[in-house]
Amino acid sequence: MNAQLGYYLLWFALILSVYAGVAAISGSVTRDSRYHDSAIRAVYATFLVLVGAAGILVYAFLADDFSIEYVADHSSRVLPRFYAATGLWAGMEGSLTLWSLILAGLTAFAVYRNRVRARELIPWVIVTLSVVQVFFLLLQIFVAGPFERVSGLLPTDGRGMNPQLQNPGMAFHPPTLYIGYVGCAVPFAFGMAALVTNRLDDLWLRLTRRLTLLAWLFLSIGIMLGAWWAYVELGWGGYWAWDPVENASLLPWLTATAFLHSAMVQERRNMFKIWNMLLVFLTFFLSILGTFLTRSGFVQSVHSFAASSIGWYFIGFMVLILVAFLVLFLGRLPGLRSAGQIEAVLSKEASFVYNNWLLIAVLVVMLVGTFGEPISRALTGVATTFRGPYFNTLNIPLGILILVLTGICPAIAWRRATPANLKRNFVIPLVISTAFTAAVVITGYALGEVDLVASPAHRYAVLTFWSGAFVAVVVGIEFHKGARARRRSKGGSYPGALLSLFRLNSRRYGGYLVHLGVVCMFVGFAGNAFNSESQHVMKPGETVEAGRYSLTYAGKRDISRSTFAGIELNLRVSRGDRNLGTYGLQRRFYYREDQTTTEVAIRSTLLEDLYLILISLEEDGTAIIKARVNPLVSWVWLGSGLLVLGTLVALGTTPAERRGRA
Amino acid sequence: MTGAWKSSTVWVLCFLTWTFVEPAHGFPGMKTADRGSGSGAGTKAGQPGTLVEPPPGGTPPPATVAGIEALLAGSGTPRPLPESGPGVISVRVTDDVSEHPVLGGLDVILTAVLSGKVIGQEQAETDSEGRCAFRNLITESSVVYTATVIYQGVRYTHPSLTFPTDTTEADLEFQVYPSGPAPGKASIRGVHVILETLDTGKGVQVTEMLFIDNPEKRALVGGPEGIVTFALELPKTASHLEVGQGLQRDQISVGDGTLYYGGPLYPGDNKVLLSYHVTPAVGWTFQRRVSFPVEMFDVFVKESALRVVSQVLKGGEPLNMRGADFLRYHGGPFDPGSLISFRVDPAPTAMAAAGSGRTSAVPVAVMAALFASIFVALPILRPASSTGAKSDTALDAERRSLESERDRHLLAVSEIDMDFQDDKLGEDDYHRLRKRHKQAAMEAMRKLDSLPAADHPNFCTRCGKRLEPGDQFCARCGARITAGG
Repeated sequence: MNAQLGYYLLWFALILSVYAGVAAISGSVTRDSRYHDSAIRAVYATFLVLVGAAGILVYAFLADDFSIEYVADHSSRVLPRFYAATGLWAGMEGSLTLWSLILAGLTAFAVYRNRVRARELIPWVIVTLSVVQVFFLLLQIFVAGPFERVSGLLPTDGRGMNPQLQNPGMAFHPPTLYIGYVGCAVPFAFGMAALVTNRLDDLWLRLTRRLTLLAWLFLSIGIMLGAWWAYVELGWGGYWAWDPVENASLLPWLTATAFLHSAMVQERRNMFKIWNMLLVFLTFFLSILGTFLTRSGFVQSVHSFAASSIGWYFIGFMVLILVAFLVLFLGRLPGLRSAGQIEAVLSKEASFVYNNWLLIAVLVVMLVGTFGEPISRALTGVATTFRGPYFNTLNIPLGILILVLTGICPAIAWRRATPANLKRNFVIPLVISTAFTAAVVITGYALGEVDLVASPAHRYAVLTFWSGAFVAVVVGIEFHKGARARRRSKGGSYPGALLSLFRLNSRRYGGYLVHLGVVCMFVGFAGNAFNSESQHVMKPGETVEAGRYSLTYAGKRDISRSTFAGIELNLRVSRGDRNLGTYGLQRRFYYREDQTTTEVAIRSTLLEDLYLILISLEEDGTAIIKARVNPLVSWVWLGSGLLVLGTLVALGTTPAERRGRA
Repeated sequence: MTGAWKSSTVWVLCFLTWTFVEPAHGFPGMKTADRGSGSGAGTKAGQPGTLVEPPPGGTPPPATVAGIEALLAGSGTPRPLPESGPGVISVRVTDDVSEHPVLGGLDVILTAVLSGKVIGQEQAETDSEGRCAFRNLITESSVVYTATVIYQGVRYTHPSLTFPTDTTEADLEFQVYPSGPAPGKASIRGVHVILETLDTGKGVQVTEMLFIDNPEKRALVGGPEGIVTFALELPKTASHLEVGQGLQRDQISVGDGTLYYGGPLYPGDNKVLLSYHVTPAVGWTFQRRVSFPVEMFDVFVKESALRVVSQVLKGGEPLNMRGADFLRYHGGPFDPGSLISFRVDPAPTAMAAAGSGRTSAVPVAVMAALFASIFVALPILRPASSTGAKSDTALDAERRSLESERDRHLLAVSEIDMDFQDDKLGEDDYHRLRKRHKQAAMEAMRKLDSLPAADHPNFCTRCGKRLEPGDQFCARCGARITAGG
């Protein structure tokens, strides 16, 4: 019953989505609010229907209903139930259902929240989002159906889930990323509605600010979860490989970051309207592109892409939305031109422009690197490969410039920064950051860890440390100034004044926290310049040296679970006389999936990670291991946490909003 | 003896009439090591043994294999071992259980086989140290030797051996057990049945494995000839019976619908292995009435096209055994007298499983569609002239634009104040910009005030509740209702 009902529900959701769009247009054209209200109800009903469809699919996973091909392909009876439930997004078909569900939910939420205060925009928001929903539902019904039945005999068991996906990080990575992708559709829809209704003021921006920030937050979480998973699960010692699928998630994040910043300029100075319209479209377009890249197999092989029809449908849809946007955008271009202009090269507005261009530059680098290989292969027959060195060579300097801007922008004034103002706001940060960096370099040289002459990577790392310190001091001074002004006006303690800043202006100070998080992450990225790696052959009882650590072969054992069997090598880690604990390195064989995985052992501190990989373990106990020392990796995760915290603060309400004015 | 015979009948499982198609022969693919090897005897090539003088006089038979074959031509009876080679096989028999390390006076029979034919057989008696030797043996690799010891009615057979190249001496050790009447403490640990579709696709191969555990340190014997007997029934359409390792094949006999095993149960594991074909693969029934305790009874189905239907066997759980997929049904323990029965049916298909589901999905889908459609269509069913049918006007749009402009300039003023406090703005710029934005905000407010009075709003701007004409406060959230929203 389940599969058939799920299929019917998808059809019904399709009908409701089409109806919602048609009713919304009717209501807007005829100015009859009955159709308007009916369209809104259709949006709510679509969400409920898709909850049902997704619920049926999740239930099928939990109940081991292998009569459904999607369930048989991605689950098994011995799969832990938690991971069985995440099978919803284990493959393409279920991912499309998840996309539809999240889109329906966010549409219902956005419509509900704005059905009164944006009454003239809402119909066109519904139309835009319904078009997107119809596309994804058509894919599920006609191209990649999640409720397709197996033909012939009922399988006794499923094929299981890729063991590497059986990890908490990877369990949450797809849904967070999808909330981010789908979340980009809502501000785009409001932007399109603004173009259609010629409401080119900042209303659509203000209405979607929080939703945009939420989408950006989930994109950030999804990207970081993916990086963390790669670090702990894939066992190659790093967290970012500039893989096309990784890049796909970063593309909309870059434009969303630019959009979030330049939206502030439109709100404050009624400028950057063209930028914002283009950025919100690009963000949505790139989120569709990211979904396309992940699911179509295009970057793996143009041939595999061509063999599957879904890629062509995505391309068709992207062309459709591109054409629709361009028609509206070009038609409204005169109205989008700003009345005001940037008054000074050194001003907050100008720094946002530089920020936008730098992020666009990184985007171009990513697009060329991600699509260059399949396109060159298709056009010339020879693939031009773009790997880590290409991305690092171009993105590191751009990233450092963006980081510097992250420090300049908060401290620089709107409209024009005078020399006195610049001196007041930047001298101290420059001095402190330079002094700090000099101390780091001198210490590094003394320890033999830094070589600025011979190593370009070390030079970039030092630049990053300097930029990060600069930003941290600027942000610290901003907090101090705010707390000091607060105490002057209201009295109270210094910590109390600091905390009250978040309540008074959550957007600004939450943003500063986010910037601090970015600083921490860049510090972590810079640590890559000092990675070291060694490989050792060890016999039982032997001790080897890996950097400052001593690794002693403490023993080995067989391990056995219901889903896998394996071997574990135990290494005792010490530094000097200090015992740092025993760590287990494993190789596992998963029965159902017929796959072998490596489970690494990681000892993390703020200073560095000791990363241990088991390469092989022979019958006689001889082990080959790889030991990596990865400095500052923890700062990446710490910075991610700070970024999330800062965004949550920035999502808070302002006093004006609490009073009901805004 | 009568008691022992009666005891042996407890090993009878059940009876059914069946027919053999082919006589029992070696089980394909299985190693044919005889049970005697399980007692720990092994070949120790190269170790010297006690020499036995060759028989006085007489012409040794030809030393070549061809010569032996010629000698055998026309003869169907075993002859004495051809003594025309340098080979020596030394035999030692020990009894671990009784703490007598050696046994003497035992008959040891050495048989030589060439190309499947017995070419000679000789018997020797162990001395007081449990040793004897066979000399002048042909060492060519084509001649295979088998040694057998009979102790207290139990036959122990050593695995066949040949002389490796450049080796003329071999040692054989036998560890024997005292024997006693069955059943002792023996039990059936498990009965495992494996079903696999034949390559022809027209039947199923059934492989049965019985694991009989004898925990006693003596071989169990019974019956009038000192053997344990039990019978296995087969399905009516069984064919191609093959008996495998574990028990001495020469102790197997068939008749009256019964497969008899007549032999000892050795200490430790005793495995009975047999296989047969059943045609067709589905629709047949397997039955065993057990007259002794069975700890576990498994049926493993290797093909997903088959299903086992049984009231005493549960499961159907998938089992991945070293890369092969099985469906496992299991039951037990079973008391004596239990009937273990299962029927092999075709597996359900996905379409069949879906068939019943399709009919029940339709009503649910129809109901859901009905409710949702009513919910969605309700607003359209309202009369067009009701209070909720007011639409936006250009006036409303202009009002909202001015409100937005007012709010933006007021926000800019507060931001400028904050920037000035944070020393991000010079004093001259601060005063100039503040004045400009304040004037712009006041202009927007003046324009708002000059707009015609807005009609009474239809919805509360805070919570969205539909308002009645004349409402001054929202009934849901209490917000004050002002003209224009």
